[in-house]
Amino acid sequence: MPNLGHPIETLAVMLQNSDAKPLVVPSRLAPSAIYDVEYRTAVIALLFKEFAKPFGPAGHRRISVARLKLLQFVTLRPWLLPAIREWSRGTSQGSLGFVPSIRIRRGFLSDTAHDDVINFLVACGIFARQEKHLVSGEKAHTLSEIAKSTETHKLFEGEQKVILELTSVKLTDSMMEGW
Amino acid sequence: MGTVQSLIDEYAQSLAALSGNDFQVEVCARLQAFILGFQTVPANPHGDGGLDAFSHHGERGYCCFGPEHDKFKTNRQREAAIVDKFKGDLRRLFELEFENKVLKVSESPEMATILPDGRKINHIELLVNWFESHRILNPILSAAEEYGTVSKCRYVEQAATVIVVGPKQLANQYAVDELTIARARQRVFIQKVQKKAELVTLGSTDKFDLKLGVLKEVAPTQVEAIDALWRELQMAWRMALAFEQELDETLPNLHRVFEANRHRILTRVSQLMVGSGKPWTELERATQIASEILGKDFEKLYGALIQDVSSGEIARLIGECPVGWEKPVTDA
Repeated sequence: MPNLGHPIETLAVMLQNSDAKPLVVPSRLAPSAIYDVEYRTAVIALLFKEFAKPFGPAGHRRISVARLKLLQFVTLRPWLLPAIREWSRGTSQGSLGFVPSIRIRRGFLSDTAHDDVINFLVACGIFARQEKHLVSGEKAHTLSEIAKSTETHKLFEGEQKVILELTSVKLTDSMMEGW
Repeated sequence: MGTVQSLIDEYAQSLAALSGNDFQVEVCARLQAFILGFQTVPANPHGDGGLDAFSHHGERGYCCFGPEHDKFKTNRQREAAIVDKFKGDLRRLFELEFENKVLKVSESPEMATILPDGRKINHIELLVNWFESHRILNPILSAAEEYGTVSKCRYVEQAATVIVVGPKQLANQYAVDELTIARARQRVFIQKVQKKAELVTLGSTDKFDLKLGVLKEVAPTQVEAIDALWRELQMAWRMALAFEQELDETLPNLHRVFEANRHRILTRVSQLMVGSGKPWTELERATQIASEILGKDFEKLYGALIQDVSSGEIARLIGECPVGWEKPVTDA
């Protein structure tokens, strides 16, 4: 990659010497969806529906906190799918090497935006914490409705495809090690 | 114990992942931390005489080589390149060169200005980012012995020892602490961003290209310069996207900070342009504004990238629409 010059300065000088009329519309730049709580909630709802297991006689369902965090991390970043497959197969388990495993692990562990959304959902009564698991809370039906609505209206189809792919990837205990 | 080994492995892998100047800079930084009197030799403007660094009052010499990883199709080609490079370095240290395939003495004017007076190198370490084959040893070590017999040995002892040191050996030689790992991760991050920037595909560029068309219409005499400028803007934009993607994958917390900074850049640049009678003059300062904003959070870690990422962020504002231009409206 060659070092860049000063393209913006060059462009500005070019425009100064022309009679071009400036247009500035800040609202045209959409913020990143990755920090949208509704978007993240929808992804969590889809993942919980697909991966949570029945728990207890009262019809609750639960999922490991770490598992959900890793799953959502990859769902939001579909280009990491090959890396997570490789990690799952164990071919790149070179301890703490510069291999996909450590890069993904470092990434999903420091994804505090997800933690914030989970805290919000716990506060809303959608989830309840149980040691290293998240259990469906008294208002968990809201999450089911979000998942159903997302599927019915064919929203986030890319993410839904990734979730389908993730069902064939085995997330081993060693991938969650240290958690 | 396992953790210590993990750190050593991680560092060895990071060294192996580096190439070119990045590899040399990292190796020198590491050795400088552990060897008192470790002296690097700048290659510019007069050349380094084949010596990248020395220590022990000039009695130990160091030569580095970090070939690009995708430059060779086979290990045999890589081995040949490593042998050629180090034999070349040794010939320069021994002040030799080939004339019609015959080794001749060729005095180096620079060596006298590098080593302390009266000192000769008696041990040479050849540091390389790939040492997975013993087949490089014989040709290099045999050449060193041959050069010793032909050379006048003004700066290297005839019986100087020569060893090849790869990433694993270097990682095991001295303690690997968190600072070393952080530095290695940082270098790998920067290299990954630069490589990724070459591959990133820009999404829809229709509106960006539309602006290109308008610019060519309002500055018809500069069409070629505009095309060149456009390529540069796209490159900058890709760099910003690669930086963002790498942060998102490996350091989501910093990605969050970056996203907030992007918003600040947009607000500042828009405010200045809208509120100014000379908006294009303000655009000229936009990269500087972006650098100032990004610098507060990223300068210490990724200072080398900030200028390019800042240009890229402004290019993104143009590409994704907030900043644009149109032809002037004429009464006719």
